[in-house]
Parts: sequence; structure tokens; C-alpha cells
Amino acid sequence: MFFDDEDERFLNPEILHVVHRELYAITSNLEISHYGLRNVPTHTEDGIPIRKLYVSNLPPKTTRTELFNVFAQYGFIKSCWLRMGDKGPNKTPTPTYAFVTFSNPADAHKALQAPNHEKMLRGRNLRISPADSWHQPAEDADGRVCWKPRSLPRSHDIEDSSPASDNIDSQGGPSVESSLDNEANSSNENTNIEEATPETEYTYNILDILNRDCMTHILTFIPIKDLIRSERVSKTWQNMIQEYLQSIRTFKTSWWVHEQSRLTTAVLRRVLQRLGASLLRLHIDHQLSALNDRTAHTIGKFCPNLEELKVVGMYTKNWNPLLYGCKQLKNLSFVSCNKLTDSSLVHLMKNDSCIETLTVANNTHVTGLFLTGSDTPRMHSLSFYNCYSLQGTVLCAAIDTLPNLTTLKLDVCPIAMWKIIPMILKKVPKLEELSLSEYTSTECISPHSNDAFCEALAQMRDLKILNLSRNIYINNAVLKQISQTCTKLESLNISSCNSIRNFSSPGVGDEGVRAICGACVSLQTLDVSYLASLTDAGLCAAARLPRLHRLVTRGSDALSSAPLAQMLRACHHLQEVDACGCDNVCEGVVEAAVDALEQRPRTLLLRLAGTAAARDYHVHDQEYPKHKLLTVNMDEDLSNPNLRPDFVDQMFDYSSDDSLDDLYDHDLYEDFEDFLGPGEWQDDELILDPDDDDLDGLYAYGIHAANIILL
Amino acid sequence: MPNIKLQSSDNEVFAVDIEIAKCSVTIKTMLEDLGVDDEEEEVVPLPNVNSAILKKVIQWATYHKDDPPLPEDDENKEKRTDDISSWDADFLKVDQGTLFELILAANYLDIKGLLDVTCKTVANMIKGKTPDEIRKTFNIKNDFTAAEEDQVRKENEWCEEK
Repeated sequence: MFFDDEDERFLNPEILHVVHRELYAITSNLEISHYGLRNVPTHTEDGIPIRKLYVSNLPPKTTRTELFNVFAQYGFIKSCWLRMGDKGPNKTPTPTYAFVTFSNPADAHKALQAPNHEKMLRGRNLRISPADSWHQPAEDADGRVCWKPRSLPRSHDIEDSSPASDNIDSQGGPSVESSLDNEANSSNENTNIEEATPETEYTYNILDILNRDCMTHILTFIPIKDLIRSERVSKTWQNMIQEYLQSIRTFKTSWWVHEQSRLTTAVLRRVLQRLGASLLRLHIDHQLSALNDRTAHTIGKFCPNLEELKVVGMYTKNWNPLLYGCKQLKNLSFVSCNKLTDSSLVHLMKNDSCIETLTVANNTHVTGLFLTGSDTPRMHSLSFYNCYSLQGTVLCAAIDTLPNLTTLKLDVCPIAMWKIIPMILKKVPKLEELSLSEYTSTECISPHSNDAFCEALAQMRDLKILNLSRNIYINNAVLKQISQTCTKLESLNISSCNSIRNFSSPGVGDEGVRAICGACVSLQTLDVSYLASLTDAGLCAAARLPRLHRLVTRGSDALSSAPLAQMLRACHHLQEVDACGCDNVCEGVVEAAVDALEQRPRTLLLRLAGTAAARDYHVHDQEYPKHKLLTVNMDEDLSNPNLRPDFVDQMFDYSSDDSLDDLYDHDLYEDFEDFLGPGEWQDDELILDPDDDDLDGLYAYGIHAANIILL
Repeated sequence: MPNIKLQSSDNEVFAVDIEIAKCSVTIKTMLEDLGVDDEEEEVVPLPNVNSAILKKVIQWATYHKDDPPLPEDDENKEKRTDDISSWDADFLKVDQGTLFELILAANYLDIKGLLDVTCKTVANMIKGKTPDEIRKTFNIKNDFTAAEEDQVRKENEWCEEK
């Protein structure tokens, strides 16, 4: 070995080539004097005698012995050192350059002056130039040579007593032994070179042109798997990749959906091995997952700093291993994890747990029992979505152990919950966020079904975010209660509250919306989509909301452009109006928006797909006024036709002639046969003519004509 | 339209519409800090950008001057690289040296759109490539010994097959 690996990493032979080629060019300029003789300097610019020569243009596979033989003719060689180049796999090492050091500067001078043909090796002209000043062995005042590099402070005593220098002092003939002794010397010279030439590195490696900032920006666009695979490129590259991987804070396995491979625990383990230590947020939401029960162990083992974990669609029951590893875990979500039960959660919720946020969605086992007896003072957010087995009474009892709860979401839960919800709410009057969406069963409905709920709302003065979408128990009385108590409200969603027109309960309408808009002046987001009985007169009141930021009024045929235009003019913070599917909203909105922006510039997005304005735009190519801060989206209809108040399901549309014929022609007739038995009916008996006496036959079977149609 | 003069590192001066120049956050802040009058024709020196690159940057900014502002970087979202517009793709059909210098210039001038699109282009050169191909593409020397490389290869075997 000529050098150790540590040195190699820093030393780039190509750089030295560049440096020395320059140097060679300079010296060769000096070479030709007017006599045609070589005028070679004997000292470096800073006055150090030249003993050491830089030799390049070496033939491949040059050995040290060969070099020795070339230079020994000029004098005693103190050392000879070859720099080996690329040692990549399947490549034989090739020397790229060499240093030859003479004991006597005069000999080095001789070697430099010698005619080129003498300095040939296997038919190649060796290029020879004095090594840079900092490579040259220094002389002290007494003329003694310090063979060690000057940058390393060493006393002459040690120097003199070392066997290597003894050898040199003896001034014996060239011997391989002496050169071997000097290898240590040479590797020190390496160190010297690194220190002297770091700045040249940037001019060489093409990726080093880019600074670390830019490289990191590039790497953010590359999937983690590709990054890990590329580690083999080079050592510098590997360092860069590993440094980058350790700066990643968020990782979602769904980012791999483009790849065909299934995510296995073994693969996840390898990834977390690299990323885990610094990872704060992990989402295991890969679609094709083949993860096993060891996954929880793996996460616990490699992610000590994890703060957020979201798991989608895994069948692991035991998540306790998280407890031992992830001591910082704050936010936990289990979505569509069907084996998850109360017993899976009970240990995670034990006394010293850090859990602040828990979400369970699409689950059929969890009842809420895991919260009973838990002691989680830090927990401030609890969400259940579509949890079939959730029990209101259990939850109501357990809620006592969550004194600091500020967010509660009980969406799409069993309808029996509705009766318990007022009791739960009374225990958590400090709630800031409440979500009770998708209560659509009429089971509990009665004239006084909202009284308890209104009473509970009367205490909730801190509410900021309220989501009551698709909740048929919400009516104008509830909205009035909200307007009286929840004056801090910032976001309200009452979309689809009782949108079916012919529904018995009066539902949400102009009156309620007017009350809200009059009182809740902090409102920033308002969603009043799909409300059957909301008209222009009610929505006009929203123009009184000074901080309104975003308004959503999707899928309502009763609304026109007038209230929206009024709002755009009055609400100076309004930045998004979503009126997708409001058939009667026309170009007046765009004009009002441009006017409003002229007066109060801000960015504004209008979503008008599925409106009269969009139809004019697409069908009649109508031009609309433009403003550079205004974005109008005419194409992307976000409204859901099934939620519209005027939605009629075609499957049950009896008013259409075709469907009635179909019913008569096939289904009904066959049903008769099944019901009454074949053969008893003749085709002519089916003709229901009131004047025909055959109708009596029907009565004989105890069936009225009207009933037949109903069948 | 008021113009502004930008001076490249090799002292070439470009007159650019002020609105176009302002897509560079660096220039924008510089102008705001200095409070440059429209009347006064000052020259903004850009010592880190040469004239060839500056010309490209101005060409890009002129084409993209009416683009809506880009959303903030969100580390919760997966970064895509397949959304490079065809104009940008044509614009970036340049040699690697120029591409890298454009990245550096976009970084220095703080032009997020240009930085993103150039970085995506380079990312596409790395994505799905074998280490050998990456080495060849970027002229990187493999400084692993055969034994070391084998070890890394073994460690990463699981992600080798595509």
C-alpha cells in the first residue's frame, strides 16, 4: 500500500494533475535559453533548494523500481513515491504521477536539466518539473535538511534518531530499503498536499459545482428508494445522501404508490434504519402494504423522536411496542385499521403517555372503553369517524379523564350517540373545535330533540370551529343558539343540514343564517352549500361579516349572483368564493369581483364551474373582465350532485314514462306470476279496465287494483 | 414600462422590465431596500451570474412573468418531477454545465420557479438510474474499493431491483 484509504478520500489525483500541469507549463517556458540550453531554477521562488521532482506522463503499470532506474543515474534518491489512480472494481491500479526526491539539490538539478531522451520509460517521455515549494524538504540554519513535511512540527532530535534519517545520513547507494523506509514520509506529504489545495477541488467534480443548498433541493425531488440505491456512486455522494436522509422529518409510505413493489416490514425496516432517528412524522398509508405485526416493533426501535404516526389499513392489533421506543409520540391516527380494539389502545393511553391527539376512523371494534381509567392530561384532541361500535354512555363516562380536551369530533357515529352528545358536551365546555357531521337517521327526531343540544351549546363560549354538515338535527333554532353563545366562532359548516325539501322538520334557512351572520362577526370560513331553504335574502346577511375569508355555497339553485356580488364588495378579506353548481349564478359575480379588486387589491379565487356564468363562457364564448389578482375556475365542478336539494334519484323516478313502462312490462307482471302462481292469470285479465267485469276476479283474490300498482 | 439595468459578472448590462426583474426575490428586496426611483436608471450588479446565464434567466422570467405565485413548499406533500411544462423542457435542453449554472443563478437570485424546474430536470437524471449510470451522467469518480462497494451493494440490495 502506498497510502491509506483515509488519505485517498481527500486527495484527488486529477486536481494535482491540473495544478502541476500549470506549474510544468510555467517551468517549461523557462527551459529554453538563447543558447538552446535548459535554464532550470535551482531554488523555488521562496528560496528553498529544489530536491523533490514531480513526474507525470507515466506509462501504465509503472513500478517504483522502474522509476528508480531512470533517476538513479543522476544521484542518490532519498525517496520515490507513486500516486496510484483509480482503483475501482475490475481495474488494475495505474499510477498517475510520482514524486522523486534527491538527497542533494544538485542531483535534482541534473535530473531536470538532462535531455528528454534519457528520461524515457517504456517509450514515453516523462514530464518532470520541480515540485511545489511546500513539498520541498526545508533546510535549517545549519544546512540540515528536515525531510519531514514542514507543516508538521517535529524536533530535529527525533528526526535524527529515527532509523530512516540514519539511513539517509549514511549516504549509501540507492537502495530499495531506504525508499521503503520513506513511505511513511511520503504519506505525510500527502497530508501536506490536502491542506494546500482544497480550493481547487470545486473546479473539478461536476456535482461540486453546486453547493449543498442546491444539491439538497434536487434531492428533495427524488424518491427515498432511489436515493438509497444511488449511495454506491462514490464516497462523497454517499455522505451527501446520508446527510440528506437524516434531515428528512416527514415520510409517507404512500409516496411509493408509483412503484409496483409491495411494502414489506423488511423494507420499511431498512428505510427507517436510515431515516428513523430524525423522523418526526411517519404515515404508513401505502396501498399495497404487506406489513406484519413486527412493524410496530420496527417503528418503536428506529424512530425514537417520532411525534406523529398515522396508520392506514393495517391489521396489527398490538401497538404496545410503540410505548417503549417512541417516547415523544403526540399525534396518533388509525384509519381503517380493523383489528384495532380497545385493548390495543388502552396501554397507549396510560398515565404518562404524551399522546395529545388521537384519531380513530372506519373501525368496528373500538367502543371508547379504552378511555375509561386512562389518565392523559395532555390529550387535547379526540376524533372518531365512522366508528360503528362507539358507545355514547362509555364515552360520556370516560370524558371526565380528559380535562384539557379542546377538540372533539364524533362524525358518522351510531345514531344513539345523538342523545348522549348533549351530556358529553356539558362536560367539556372549553371545546374550541367540535365536529358532529353526518347524522342522517330520523330515528331520534322529535319536536324537542334539539332542546338538550341547544342547552349544551349555551355553555360553549370558546368554540372557534364548528362542523355540522349533513346533520338533520340542525335547524334554525340551533343556529340561533349558536349566534347567542359562540361569538368567537371562526369557521362554520352547515352544508346539507336538512336539505331535502319535503322533509318534515323545518331545517336550516334564511332565518338561521341571518342570525349567525349578525352575531358571529369573527367568522372567516362559512359553508352553506346544498341548503334547500336558503335564498338570496338570507345569504345577503353574510355581507355583514367583516373577516370573511372563504365562502362556500355549492349546489344551490335558489341563489343568484346578487348576494355574492354584495359580499365581494363588502367583505374586504374575501379570497375564495366557491359557487360550484349554483345554476343561477351568472357573470355579475365576475364583474363584481373585478370591481372589488380595483378598490381593495388581494388575491381572489372564484370557483364557478357548473353555473350559468360557466355555461356562457363555454357555450357562448362570452368574454369576462379580467384582473391579474383574480383566478376564475370554470372547469372543475366540486359540487356533489347527490347532495343537491333538488336531487332526484333516477332509479325511483316514476314520473318518467319509460320507467313506468319498464315496470309494467317486466317486473310487475313477473311478480304477479310469482305471487299468484302461474296459470291462474290470463293475459287479458291484466287489462285493468274499470268498466270491465273481469275486475271482480281481482277482488276475488282480495286485491284492489290500486294495491297491484303499489306492489 | 420602466426598465432596470442588470450587470452580469463579465460587465454586460441588460435592460429588463422592472416587473420581470422582480420575479427574483433577491433583486426585489434589493430594490425595496434601496428605494430606487423609476426615474433614476441605476445598474444592479450581479457578480455571481455571467452574461450567458443571465440572458437565459431573463428569457425564462419573461416567459413566466404572468404565472400565478407558486404555493409554499409543503414537506407533507410528495414532490413531483413529471410536471415540467414543454416550454421549460425545451428551454432546459442545454449542456450540464449551463444547467448547473442556471441552478446556482436561480438559487442566488432566489427565483423559486426556475430553481424548482431546473432541480427537477437534474432529479430526473438521477431518478431510477443505477449508480453506474449516475456516475457516467455526472462524471463522478467511483472512489470505493471493490470490497467497500460490495458491502454497500449488499446493504442496499433490497432496493436494487426496480
